[in-house]
Amino acid sequence: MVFADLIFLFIFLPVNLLLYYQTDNRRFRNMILIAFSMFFYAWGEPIWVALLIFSATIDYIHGLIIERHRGQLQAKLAVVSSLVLNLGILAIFKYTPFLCENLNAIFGLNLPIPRIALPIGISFYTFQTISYTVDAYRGKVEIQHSFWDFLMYVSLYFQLVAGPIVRYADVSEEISNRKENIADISNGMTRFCIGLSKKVLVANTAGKIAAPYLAQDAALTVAGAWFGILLYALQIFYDFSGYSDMAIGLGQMFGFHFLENFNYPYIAKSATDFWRRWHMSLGSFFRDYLYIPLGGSRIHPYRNLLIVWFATGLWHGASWNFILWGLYFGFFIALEKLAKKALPQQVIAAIPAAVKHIYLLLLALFGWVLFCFTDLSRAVYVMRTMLGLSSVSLYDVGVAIDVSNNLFWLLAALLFCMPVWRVLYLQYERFCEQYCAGYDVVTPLLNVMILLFCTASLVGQSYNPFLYYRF
Amino acid sequence: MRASHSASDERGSINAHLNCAVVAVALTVVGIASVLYIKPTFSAIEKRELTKFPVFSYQALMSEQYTQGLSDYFADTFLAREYLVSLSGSLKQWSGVAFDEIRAHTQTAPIGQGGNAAQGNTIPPLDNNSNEAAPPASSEAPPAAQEEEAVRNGAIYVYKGRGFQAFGGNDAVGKRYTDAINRYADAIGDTVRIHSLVVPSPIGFGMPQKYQDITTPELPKIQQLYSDLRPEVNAVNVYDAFERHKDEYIFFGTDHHWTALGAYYAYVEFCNSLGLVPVDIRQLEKKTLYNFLGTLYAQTQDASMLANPDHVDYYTMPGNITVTQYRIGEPFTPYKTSLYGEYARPINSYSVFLHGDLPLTVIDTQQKNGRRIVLVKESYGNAFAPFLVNNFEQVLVVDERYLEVGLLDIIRQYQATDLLFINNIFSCYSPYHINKIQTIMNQVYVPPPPPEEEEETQQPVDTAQSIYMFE
Repeated sequence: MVFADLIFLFIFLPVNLLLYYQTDNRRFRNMILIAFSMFFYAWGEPIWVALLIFSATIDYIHGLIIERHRGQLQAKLAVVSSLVLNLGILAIFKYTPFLCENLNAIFGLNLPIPRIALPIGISFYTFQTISYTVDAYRGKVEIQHSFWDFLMYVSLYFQLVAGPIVRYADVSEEISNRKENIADISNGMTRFCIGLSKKVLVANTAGKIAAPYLAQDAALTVAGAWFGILLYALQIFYDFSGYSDMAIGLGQMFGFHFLENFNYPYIAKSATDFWRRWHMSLGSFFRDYLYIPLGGSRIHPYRNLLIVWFATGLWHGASWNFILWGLYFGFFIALEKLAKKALPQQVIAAIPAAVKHIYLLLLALFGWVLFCFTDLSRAVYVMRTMLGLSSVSLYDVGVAIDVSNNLFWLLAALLFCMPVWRVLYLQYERFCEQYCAGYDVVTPLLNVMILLFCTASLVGQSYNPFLYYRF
Repeated sequence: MRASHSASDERGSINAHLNCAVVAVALTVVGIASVLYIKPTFSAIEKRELTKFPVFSYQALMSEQYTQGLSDYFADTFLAREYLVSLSGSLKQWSGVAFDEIRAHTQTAPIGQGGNAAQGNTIPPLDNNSNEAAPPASSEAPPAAQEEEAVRNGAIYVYKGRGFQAFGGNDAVGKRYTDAINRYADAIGDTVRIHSLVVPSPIGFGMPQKYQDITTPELPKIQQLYSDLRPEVNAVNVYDAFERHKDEYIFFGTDHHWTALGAYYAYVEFCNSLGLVPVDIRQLEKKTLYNFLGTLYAQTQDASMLANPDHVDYYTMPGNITVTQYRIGEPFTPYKTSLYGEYARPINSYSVFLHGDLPLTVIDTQQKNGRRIVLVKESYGNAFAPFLVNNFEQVLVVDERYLEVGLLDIIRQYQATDLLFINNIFSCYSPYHINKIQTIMNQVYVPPPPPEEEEETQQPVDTAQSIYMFE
């Protein structure tokens, strides 16, 4: 199931909330969440529920082994075994066809390319369970003795299919001791509605407008190439951050407090800054479980960057364009690191902020070209077109029509990439204090309006692809 | 101070309760209502059966078909669906401005992996049940490198209340169209005179010059098609005639078809190419169906079209004419009928011509000249066929999409002297139509297994006219 689905909104979620709040019993509540999570997952992947449970079981048992043999070789072996199993599952389901293709290409072999369906969310939940076992080994979390509680952590549908990657350490307390309260539920609902509107009203629309510009065989103009990739940048940001908002909001409705996953990435001033703001749970995962164990910035920092950014790219998909995309960012992050070392602090500080912003935005947009097209020759063609190096016209009237037909939408979408919401909300709170005796009537109205508009859009369109499924 | 603090806490709690209550009630009430209310089965505005409740089976469940079916069913039969669809149309209109009254309704195509642009079919069907949906692009689309598509093949542009589809045919596909016709020339060209008439789309005639680069010029494409035909095939050029008459009502504004007048001018060109004397349209009695909002309106729901409805003129032919039709699934059961389905309702008014698209229509006329013509067509042929009764003893109208018996058999059986292919330019570049033209040549009728439900009894006149079967 996906969140932006009418059955989810109007049946699954209300029923889930209703049953959940029937009792105060923690065990019952957790069981409800497991049952609904299993149902949610089975909706799209009936077979792969088994894999999810298998993955949870492995790490649950490994956790117990680590506890029993703390400080001994067995504990170390348990971590290694967990890593091998989790990454093995990921490799088999996600990377086997890619591996076969490349082996065939490099060695002239003729391996059959297996057709393996990618179980939804596998990239997210294998990382979550890895975080548990590694942190258990490091003594950073207490071992979970209840299989059901552990299964709930792994299967929790809020973040199961589209992240964020919620580390066990961040929610371990709340698995058994969370305190649901009305303020959280209310904030969660609002957060969910905001996320839903980002997905349905912005990302889906962006995808629709962008489609003809991003089609593999589209004849482009320079303006068309820029416009298409700008829309793609909006789509992917609103899509993914919308899903993260919905996950965080759902968590709040049920008493969980997940960490933020996005922090206005497009206002970043450097590639390094961008990755501190974009898909933060992934960046910090690779930092804590790969970069730092490799030696971080102390030992072979550039080798480590290479490995981390290769892995980051590969995580996004089993295709060379994603790997290149990762390495592309790795390259610029390394460059920024070098520049920081080589140049005096004052020189970097003297660069106007606007220049830094433009640098990052261009970097991000060209990055999305790599990300968008699995066919590299097409990606190169689009980049050349954007730079005016391919012999096409500068502009076509279709772009002008699309821009004007979607002008208000486009301006709003660009505006809300910046932290205007915070400013607006502060203003609104002040307004409430002053004129409404502190009572807030606009939020519920806004939420209902969002639900109405999103429902209309969902009913009105069959087009509802979820971009992050492939990861 | 403390008192005011607790007062603000209380207000916060009231705000939270209010927000939760409003959102929860909205979700629950709509949820309950959408389950309990009596679901519609047909959408008049979209001219199609709505998705049915999926049939449960173990296989369907495990392959996600069942749950996908449930989601589609729920969305397709949602409470107040038509209101919500129109609201979503309004949202689209509020997204921007239409300078110069031009508005794009972009079609969707898979991102980054080749559009479905090579097909004449445009919007993919909402449900997967539509058995007439075009085959997936991957199996049919030629390699992207061969020929670039126009950016927006199939996209609908509404200019001053009239809809136009942008064209972007792929030359490799067009070549397959002429190959298909040449195959008939090779098979029977020595005994039957073969003609090909490609109908250009309205965009080249009705859209101002300044917007022409949203589409691909069609005249060179048609010239290319005609030059690829065997020399013995009579290629009928109607482009120049349309250019001369472009200010007349030769195409609808809210529907993708031509009018009877447009078909008449094509008929005149056809007669001229054969040295036949065309009937004078001024001598014919004209009847009219008013308030016609056709396929382009149904797809875009564009308000400016609503203000400019079409009307359908049709012309009564002189003399005694007997019409026999054969329906889908009953290729050997004749039904006596008439030239025009005068009962055709406004939304479906184009099916006044020949009662819509039936596999085979046999028209016996009063002419005694030994000329018998087989017209192979998609729905464009329907408005054209009636004029032929003035020049041929027998007119056989074959719908290339629905014919269930062999076309060569029919030509032999009726001793046809002429074979005319009429397709609009989108169909000539649509693998779906080309495949049909190829397969009907020598096919043998295979009766379908008896239907399990009594669903098939409906006349194909309305239901076969799904807007998604774009020709």
